[in-house]
Amino acid sequence: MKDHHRITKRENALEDTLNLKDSLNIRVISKSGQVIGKVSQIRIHPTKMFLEGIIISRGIFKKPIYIGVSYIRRLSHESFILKVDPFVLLKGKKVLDSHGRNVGRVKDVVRKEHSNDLKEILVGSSFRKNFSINISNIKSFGESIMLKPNYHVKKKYFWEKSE
Amino acid sequence: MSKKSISGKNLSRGITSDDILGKEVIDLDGRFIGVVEKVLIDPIDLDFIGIEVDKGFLKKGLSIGKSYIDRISEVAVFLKIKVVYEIKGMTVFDKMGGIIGTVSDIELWGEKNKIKNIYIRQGMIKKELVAPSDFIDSIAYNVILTVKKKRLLEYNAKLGN
Repeated sequence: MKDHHRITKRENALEDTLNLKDSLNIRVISKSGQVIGKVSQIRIHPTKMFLEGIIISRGIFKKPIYIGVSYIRRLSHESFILKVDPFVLLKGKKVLDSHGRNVGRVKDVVRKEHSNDLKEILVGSSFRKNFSINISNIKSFGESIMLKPNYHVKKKYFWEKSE
Repeated sequence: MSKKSISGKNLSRGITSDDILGKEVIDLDGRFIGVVEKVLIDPIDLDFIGIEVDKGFLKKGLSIGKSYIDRISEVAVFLKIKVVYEIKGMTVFDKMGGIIGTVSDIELWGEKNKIKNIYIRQGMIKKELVAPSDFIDSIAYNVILTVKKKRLLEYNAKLGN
């Protein structure tokens, strides 16, 4: 790096900071190691001038994700690692009941406002109406979503009237 | 026609090997591991000791001990564990999120589902690296280490890799 004049009060030395330009287009990894996409923008608070969040680009057909700095665990020149697995990534995952039967796939997720706290998932499958499953009925999230044994999926086909 | 029984106890709660064979095997993460190919029984104790899983065409089979089985439902056999063999082929990231390589092999503690070392392939030319289990932070979609790549290389240099 070129020799430079340093004019700082309490701030870190230049060597201890990150160049945001280098952080663009680097990969973003979720807590469980899933590569979510690449950083397309780094957003800064307009007056307080601290990092607010990043925009993750996920390709042409997928919606980008704006994720707040409070969900970011570590930044480096190679990756941004998140503290969480964003629940929006559950879309398309298989849902299995306690017997291992395929109940459908996640069509949408309902979160508490804009946070990563999940309230319910909307599940759908062919010939069956979409239905929601509350988080209290979900046992685990992984490769697929496993439901608790006390939850019984009501079969409702699209030709049946909604209540 | 009603069947005769000389079991000495009520066998109506039992399930048969036919009920288990062909069932899907699902791990703790909800990952499909394969289908039950064999039911293993101890020839001396006559106890059920585990299952053999067919993982599909060209893939090696897998034996799973009874202690790793959570329950057997109408449709599937549920495991209590994540099968560590499933991490083969996963990408390994260092602490900073830099890619190190892919898991080429694993070494277990005896025959337990517990990792001792993982072997990381870095490409065609570079040498394979070894990472002990205490270097592993998390295993889910991929593997994230607790150390930076530099530390891993130092560890391997000490081992003479």
